[in-house]
Amino acid sequence: MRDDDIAIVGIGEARVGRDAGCTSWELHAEAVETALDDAGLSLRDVDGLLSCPSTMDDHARHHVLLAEHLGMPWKRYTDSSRVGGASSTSAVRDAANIIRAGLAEVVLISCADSQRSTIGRGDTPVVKMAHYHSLDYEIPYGPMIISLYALIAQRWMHEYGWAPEKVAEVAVSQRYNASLHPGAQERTPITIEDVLNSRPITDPLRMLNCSLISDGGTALIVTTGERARSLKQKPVYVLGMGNAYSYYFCWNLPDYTDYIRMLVQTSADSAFAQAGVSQNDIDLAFVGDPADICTLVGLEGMGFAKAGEGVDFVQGGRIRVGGDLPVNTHGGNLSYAHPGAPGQHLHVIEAVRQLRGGLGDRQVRDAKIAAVHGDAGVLTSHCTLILGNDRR
Amino acid sequence: MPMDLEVVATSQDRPLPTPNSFSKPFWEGTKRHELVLQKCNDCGTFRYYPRPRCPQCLSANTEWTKVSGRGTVYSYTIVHRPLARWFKDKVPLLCAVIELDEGVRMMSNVENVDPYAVTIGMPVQVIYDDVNDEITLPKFEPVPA
Repeated sequence: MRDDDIAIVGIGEARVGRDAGCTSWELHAEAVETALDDAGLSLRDVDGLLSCPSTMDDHARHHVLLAEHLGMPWKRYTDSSRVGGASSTSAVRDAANIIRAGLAEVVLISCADSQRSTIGRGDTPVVKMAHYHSLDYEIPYGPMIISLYALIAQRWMHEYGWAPEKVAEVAVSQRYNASLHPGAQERTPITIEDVLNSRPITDPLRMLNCSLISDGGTALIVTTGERARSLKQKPVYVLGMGNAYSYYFCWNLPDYTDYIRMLVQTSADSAFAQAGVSQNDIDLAFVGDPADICTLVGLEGMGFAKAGEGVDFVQGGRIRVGGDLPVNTHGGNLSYAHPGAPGQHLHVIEAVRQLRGGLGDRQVRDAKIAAVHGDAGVLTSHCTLILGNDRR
Repeated sequence: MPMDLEVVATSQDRPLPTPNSFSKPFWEGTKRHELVLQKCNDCGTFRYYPRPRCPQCLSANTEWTKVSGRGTVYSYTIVHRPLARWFKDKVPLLCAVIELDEGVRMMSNVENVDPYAVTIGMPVQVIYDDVNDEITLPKFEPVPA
């Protein structure tokens, strides 16, 4: 048993889903308030702050501005996590490292974005996010961010002969999981035909192969295991962490199948090794899913499915709650919500809820260890966390 | 219900590249309808997109070299939603990752073809879209059979 345990002790969500009708600053504050209440802590107990900058309200010193908005009376450490979609998972890693280095004891991670309510009002999220990509070598050709995932999906489907009706099972399973969560943005069950008949967005991706566009705020509170054990909630320990970074632009990846799978594997293997667990020990998994292809790539890279067999793995309800390996039990970005910066924080929050237990119909039985994989920059940067409800 | 993404941008302007101190020769090349890439004089590696140093060996010793402009489609997507208002009457458009014979990959459009006829592995050759006096975008079309 290690004496440098790190645990997640508070979780909060704010107005996740449709049109929150406010800026990210309000969402940050609400999520933080909820997470503090969940942990039984006050802002005065927090001495570290990590922010995941909002797409819509970014700032050069976003974390300092956020601290000022929250009225944090003092802090020993603040920073922003800038790993795109994986910022929220990477921030958990950063919090653990900061705490282990003695730079802070209680770290608050806050993410918020208002992508949905900004649609059609001035500079939209689609255009803002385009600026994260190459204005010289990508954008003049007209791809949306989701088109970059489509390029990867196209290649996987080509190389492995994946049929759209088989891939569609990911979206159907995610919607099933979301139907069990009262907070999910889309809860109405869908069929394979619904996915195949949804309107084309960027081939081979149709609307139901893509994540939702949402608003929302999320917050987590991370501290030492020792402190955690005196707090209100059952601690959820961060047992292992891993990362892999490669290229910025996905078209620079040497190839779209083996290389991406290897990146996920590199990240996941480090996390599994640090946690001292293997795939067989994992009770449920989470994969950041801006598009359904990410789930399939993630399952292969994390070693749950063999190369090229991700799509076979998900058939027959195996990734649904009640299946062999429930994946994204809240419905993921496909059906729960995708507010931007907090998108994959939602996966971590659901993992914490599952590991605390008591979720009724949605509860994965005897959930002890969860693997959470975050991806960023169109599968070019990766972060894996292994979470558990017991010290190891 | 799906959200309405009809209006995705307020700008009418076409998004265009901005040549800089090290990418200028690339854009000067396309303007004269030549595809020129940086080739490292120390290790021989071609690179795209333009960067100040060789990503293989960090060498700054670089020669702008005219390349064949031939390659194949590595992957593609038919984009049905306009990224910005300018693209509104351009969709569906074909975005592809082109693997040039020299080994580098480029994001581009494949034109002069039914987007639904494009396939992975399709041989393509460069064409030039003269947008204005400053900018010519390299694009691709299928190599005639």
